[in-house]
Amino acid sequence: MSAARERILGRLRDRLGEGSQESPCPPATSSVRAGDVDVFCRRLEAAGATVERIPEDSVPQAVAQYLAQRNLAARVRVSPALAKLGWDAEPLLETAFGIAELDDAAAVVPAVLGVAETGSLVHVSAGDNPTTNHFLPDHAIAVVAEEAVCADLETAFSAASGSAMPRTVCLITGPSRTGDIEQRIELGAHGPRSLHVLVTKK
Amino acid sequence: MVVSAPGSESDRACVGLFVTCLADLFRPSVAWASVTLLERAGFRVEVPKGQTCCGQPAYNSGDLRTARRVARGFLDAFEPFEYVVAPSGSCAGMLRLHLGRLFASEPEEAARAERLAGRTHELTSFLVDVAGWTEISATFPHRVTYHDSCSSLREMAVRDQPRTLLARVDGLELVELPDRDACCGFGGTFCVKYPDISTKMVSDKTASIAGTGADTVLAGDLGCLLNIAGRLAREGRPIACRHVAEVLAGAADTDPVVPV
Amino acid sequence: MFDGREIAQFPEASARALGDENLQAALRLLGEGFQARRTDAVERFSEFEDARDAAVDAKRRTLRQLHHHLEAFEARCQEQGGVVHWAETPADARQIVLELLTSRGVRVLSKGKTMVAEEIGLNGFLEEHGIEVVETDLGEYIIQLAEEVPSHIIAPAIHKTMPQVVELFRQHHDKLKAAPFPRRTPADLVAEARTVLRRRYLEADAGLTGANFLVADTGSSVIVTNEGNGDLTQTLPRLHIVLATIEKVVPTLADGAAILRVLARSATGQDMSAYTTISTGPRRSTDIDGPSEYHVVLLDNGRSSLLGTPAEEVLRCIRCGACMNHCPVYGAVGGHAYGWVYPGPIGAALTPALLGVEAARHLPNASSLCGRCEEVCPMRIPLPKIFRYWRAKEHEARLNTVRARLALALWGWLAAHPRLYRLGTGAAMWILSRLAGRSRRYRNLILANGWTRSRDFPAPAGRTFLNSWNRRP
Repeated sequence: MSAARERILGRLRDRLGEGSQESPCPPATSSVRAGDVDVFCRRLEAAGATVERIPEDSVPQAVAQYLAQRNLAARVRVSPALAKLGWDAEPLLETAFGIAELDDAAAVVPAVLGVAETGSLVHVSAGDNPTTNHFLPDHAIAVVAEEAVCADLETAFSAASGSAMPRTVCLITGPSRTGDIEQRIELGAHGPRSLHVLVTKK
Repeated sequence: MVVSAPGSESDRACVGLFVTCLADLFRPSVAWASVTLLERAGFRVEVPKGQTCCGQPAYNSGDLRTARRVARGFLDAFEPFEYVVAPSGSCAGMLRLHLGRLFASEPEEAARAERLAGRTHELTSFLVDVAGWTEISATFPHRVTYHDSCSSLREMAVRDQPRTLLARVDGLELVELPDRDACCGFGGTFCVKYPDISTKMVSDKTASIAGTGADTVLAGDLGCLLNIAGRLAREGRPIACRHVAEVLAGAADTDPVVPV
Repeated sequence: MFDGREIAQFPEASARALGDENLQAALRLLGEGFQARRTDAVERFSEFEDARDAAVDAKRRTLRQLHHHLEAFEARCQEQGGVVHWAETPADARQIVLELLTSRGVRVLSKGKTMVAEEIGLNGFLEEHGIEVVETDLGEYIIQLAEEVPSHIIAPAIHKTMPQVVELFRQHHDKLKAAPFPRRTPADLVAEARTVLRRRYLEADAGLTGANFLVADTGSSVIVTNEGNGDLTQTLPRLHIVLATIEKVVPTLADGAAILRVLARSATGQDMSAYTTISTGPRRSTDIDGPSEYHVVLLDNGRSSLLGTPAEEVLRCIRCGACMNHCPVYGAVGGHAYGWVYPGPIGAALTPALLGVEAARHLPNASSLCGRCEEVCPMRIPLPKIFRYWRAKEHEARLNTVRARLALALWGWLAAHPRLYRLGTGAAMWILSRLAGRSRRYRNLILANGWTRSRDFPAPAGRTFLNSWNRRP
C-alpha cells in the first residue's frame, strides 16, 4: 500500500506546502501546575478509588486487612515487581506471582508514578509488571510511593517514556466504569470494580 | 417625548435605527418603542429610508450572492451613522459577526462592513453598555419570564442587560426559565424546513414557559416571539408574548403578538 | 451498516424518531446526564478556558504540518517494531484488516470502541469473510445484540432504555445461563455483560481498537476509555490492530496532555477518564504479556482534501460528543435519524465532506444555528459557520429546491429595491392583516403550512413601520 501512502502524503503536501521538518511544533504548555500527595489522594478518591497512606514496609498487612474488610478471600495475585515486599509476614494471605488469570479476584499491582493533577496512577509495562494484572481481576490494589507522585501530566509522560517507550503506559484514574445504560454510572464494567490505593511513605 | 436630552437637538449623538424586517412588517410597535427608548436615553434617532433587511435569510440559506446584494443596500443606508441599533440580537449578530465574512472576497466592501459591524448594537445592550442608561420609567404589573434568543446570548453577549432594565419596571416580577440557554426552535427558515423538529423544540420551550406560572413571555427577538406565540396560541395556553422594548418603553398597551 | 443512502430520509426518520416513545424517554436523560455532568466538570476546573486554548493550539499547529507528523509517526512506530499501513478509502482499510486477520488464521476478533470501524463498515465485511467480531464496549455490545448501529459517538446505545436492554440480554444470554432472573438494575446488567464478555477476550486471536490520538514523537497510539475493555482488547490477543484516521496524530505526548485536559470533562464530565493508555509497538522481548504484533492502519477517506477549505476545522474534533449532547436537534431525534456514522452537529459538519454535499444535504440544513454546539466544543470548532459553508456549497451546486431558490431570488430582488420593497410588503401586510380577522392569527396558511401545522401564524399589525414613519407629520 505504499502507493496509497504516496498519494495521501502528496495531497497533504499540495495543500500544506512543504513546510519544514526542522521546525517542529513547540510542545503544548500547560497552565495547570498544581498538586502534591494530598491533592493526589483527594483526586483519586473523587475518581472513585479508596486510598490508604501506610509505611512502605506494611503493604502485605494492609492488603490482608483490606481483603478482610471487604469480605474477600485471603488470596491475591501479586505482580512480580512487588514480589519482594515481605509477603511472608502475612502467613494467612495466599499469594501467587505472575500474570493474572480469569478467576483471580484481587491483584496487587505497582504504579511507578502518581499524577496529582488528575489523581491518576501510572502503570508502565515491564517484564515484572504485566498489564493484564491491572485489568483482569475484580479488585485492584495498587501500590505507589509518595515520592513517585508528580505534579502534572507532562511530567508523568516524560518520566514514563524515559529513554524508550515501553509497550504500555496506562494512566489509571479510578475503578472501571460505564454509563452505557441510561447514562447511569456503574462501576466494574470490564476492569476492576474497585481500586484501592496504598500510598507508601519511607 | 424626550425626557433626558442632554443639550440641543444637534448636539445629541445620532442613532440609525435598524427596524429589522420582522418588526417593520409584523409589529411596528417594537420599532416605535425602540425610538422612544433611544430618545429617552438622549439620542437623536433616524430611520434610514433605504433599509430593508440585513440579508440574513439568504446568508443562512447559502445564497451568498443574494445576501451580498441585500447587504450592500444595508451598508449604503447605514454607513453615515455613528451608531446602528436594532431591536434584535439576531439581526445585530448578522451585522456584527457575519457581514465582513460575507464580503470576504471584496476587500473594500469587507472593510466597510467591518467598520459598520463595530458600531452595531442590540437595543438593550446599547442602552446599558454603550449609553449607560437605565432610567426606565414604566409599569407592567405582571409575572413574566424572559426568553434569551440564541444570537443575543451567543453572538451579542446579551444576557444581563435586558434583566437590568426590566428590574426597573414597576410591578414586574421576573421568573427565569429552567432551560434559559435552549433554542426555541425558530432558526429562521429552519422552522419551516424541518417543522417536526422545530415543533418539538418550541413545545419543550412553551412547556417550560408554562411551568414558570408567568402570564407574559418577553424576548428581544421577534422571530422567537412569533414562534413561541404561535405555539402557545395553538396549545391554547393563555400566555402573552411581547418584545422587551414594548414593556421598557411603557408601550405595552397594544395587543400581544397573538391576543390571549 | 451505514451506506449513506439513509441520509436522504432524514425528514421521515426524524418524524419517526419524534414518535418513538422509548427513544424520547432515553433522550430526555441528556439534560441531567451528560449536560449536567459537563457543566459541573467545567465549573470545577477554573483553567478550563486556558486548557481549551492550549488544546486548540496543539491541533492547529499539528494540522499545519500534518504530513511531517505522519511521516514521523510512521518512522517511530516502525523503529519499535510496529507496522504502519496506509489506506485511502474505506475499501482499502477493510482489505488491509482482512488480510492481517486471514494471513494469521484469526477466527475471533475482539473490538474496542472505534467510530472509524463504523465509517468503513468493518464488522459486516469481516463477518462476510467468516470472522467473528466481538464488540466489547458495553454500549457497542448492546447494539451488536440488537443488530443496530451506534446512535452516539461515545454512548452508542444511548437510544436504548433499560427495559430494552433487559429484553435483549434475556434473548441472547439465557442460552448461556449467564445469570439468574430477575435482572432489574443497571448494575445487574453490567455484571452480566462482564461475565459473558470476559471469556471472549481470551478466545480472541486479535484485538482491534481505534485511537483517540497518535503520537508522532513516540510512534504510539492512545485510547481513552472508562470500562477497561479497550485495554483487555489490546493486551490479551496476540495481534493488536489500531484503526485511525490521519488527522488523529499529534506531535508529542505534551500535546496529548493538552487534549486530555478537555476531553473527559467535555465528554462524560469526568476530570479524567478511568483509563488513558499509550501503546507503543508490540510486547518487548522481556515482557510477559501484551500482543506480539502491533499494526496501525492510517485512513484518509477524504480528510486530506478538507485541508485548506473552510471546513478543515472539523479535523480538530476529538470526538468527545459534547456537541451532540447539547444539540436541541440531536436531543429531539437522536442519532439514527442522521442516517450515517457521525450524528449531531459534528456529523452535520463532517458528513458532507466525506459523502458529498448532495448525499448529506439535509444534515447541515437541519440546524437552527443556535450555536450551543460551538459553545461547548472543547476544540472551538465553529460548527454553525461550517453548516453555512455546506449550505453555500449546496446552493452553488443548485442542489436545493427550485422553490427555495426562487423565493430567495425574488425576496432578494425586492429587498434590494427599498421603494418597491416598502410598497410590496406594505400591500402584502395590509392584506394579511385584514384577512386574519378579529382572531389576529392564521390557523392555516397555504405557503407556510410547515409553520401552521403545529403553530398559529400571528397576523401582522397592518401598516408597516417604515410606511408609518415616512408619513409622520
